[in-house]
Amino acid sequence: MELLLKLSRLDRRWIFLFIALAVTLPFLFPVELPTRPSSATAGVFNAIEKLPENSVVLVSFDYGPSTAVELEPMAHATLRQLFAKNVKVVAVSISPEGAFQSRKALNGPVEELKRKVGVDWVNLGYIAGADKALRAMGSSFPAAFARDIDGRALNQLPIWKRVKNYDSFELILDWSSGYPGALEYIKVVSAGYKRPLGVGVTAVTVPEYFPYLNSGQVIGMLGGLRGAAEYEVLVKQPGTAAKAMVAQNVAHFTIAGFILFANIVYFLGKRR
Amino acid sequence: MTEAYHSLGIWIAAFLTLCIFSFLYKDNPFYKFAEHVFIGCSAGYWMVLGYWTMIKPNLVDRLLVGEWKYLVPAVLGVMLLLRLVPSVSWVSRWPICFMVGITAGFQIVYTMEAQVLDQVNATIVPLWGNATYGQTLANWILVVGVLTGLIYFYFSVEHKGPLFGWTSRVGIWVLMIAFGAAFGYTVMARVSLLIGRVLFFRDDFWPVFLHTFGK
Repeated sequence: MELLLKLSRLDRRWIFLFIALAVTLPFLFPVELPTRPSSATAGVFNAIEKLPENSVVLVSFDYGPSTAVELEPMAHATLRQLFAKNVKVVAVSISPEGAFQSRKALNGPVEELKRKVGVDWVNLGYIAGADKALRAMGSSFPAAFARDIDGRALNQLPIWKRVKNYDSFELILDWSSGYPGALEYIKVVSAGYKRPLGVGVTAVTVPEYFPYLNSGQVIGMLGGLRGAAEYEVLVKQPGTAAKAMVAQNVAHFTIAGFILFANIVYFLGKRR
Repeated sequence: MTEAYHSLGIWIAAFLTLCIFSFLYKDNPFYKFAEHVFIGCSAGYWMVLGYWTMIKPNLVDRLLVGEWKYLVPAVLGVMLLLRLVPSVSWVSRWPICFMVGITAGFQIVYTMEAQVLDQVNATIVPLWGNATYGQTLANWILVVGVLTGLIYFYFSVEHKGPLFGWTSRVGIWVLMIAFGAAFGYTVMARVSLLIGRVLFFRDDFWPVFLHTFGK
């Protein structure tokens, strides 16, 4: 009992140390834990699987370096799936940091699957105006963009001949860490233009988007690192997210253990 | 030379990461240094990004090719900055009014559709006769959760008695469960950020470290 009460006054730095160990050790001594994809994640996967060959998909990158650890693995996994199915990709960003991240995210899958810029994919870069920009794109992509992120004239690119407005896209995907991002796409693209929309969001914003998933306003949702890991399992290419989920699980058990322990000590102390 | 710059960048990133983490032990000059560097760099980064991604392509370039209608937003922008001059700060209210008006008008249609009508529509679900008992239970939880949550936020009547008293208490439970779920996801997000830094040390810093010391 005395020991328990002493532990209740444990210096919080010990907790930090335990969390640090919980996150670090799984990377030093890797173990495999099963990951079962949720229906929310499967929604995006199935929508991409059903896409006909040569269809065009709009992918919006609306996150910065601070949230890349959660969103980049999902962007990689979906881009690989899209390119492997010979689906054309039009990349865009309504968040200024997203344009830099889109280059980084596209590089790997484009080189791996040898996709040609202007034919198989194009990166439009950043467009300012958030929801106003989305509305401008809905009216006319050619009016909203003249050049791609690297300065190529879009009207010279074969892929651009197929892009007029949101109706040109079989599916729209948005990887988002906040404003502007998924909510703007839900308002303008899903509610306004009635186009199928899939989103990938950071874990902290997942509860905000569940109502839109439940109502069918988004066809699927990848939530944080877990969503990314589930997607990697679905495309049968376990990567960064799947490995990081082991550390995530161990950290969660550690935190849950501390919460449980603190409550037991609290109630025992109260009884005394 | 590029490789040397890359290595230098990685070393600086690793040093600043450790400086920030040192706060977990206690407040110290290394943490304060990293905090100040972060704030200064962020301000500079967003200013440069704002100019090259917003002001230049949307205003400067268009004025340079003679699209004079863009003088209107340019003037509104200057009026907004007059907020910094106390004697004429009132001028900034006009562009603010313009922005608020435009945004409200623009948002009202889509917000109403996406966040009110479609959401209300999704709450109108069958409470019996579903394909599975699980679906029926889920629908009951949805409807009861929404109604009791709404009653909790209805403050025109005192929360007493069976209708407003009990249901608002159920509403509190619904809200607490929702907050618990949100907290769980927040923990997951924060742990993800820590994992991001651990992966940085393993995948980016460690190879550079070995290379620097010739191993």
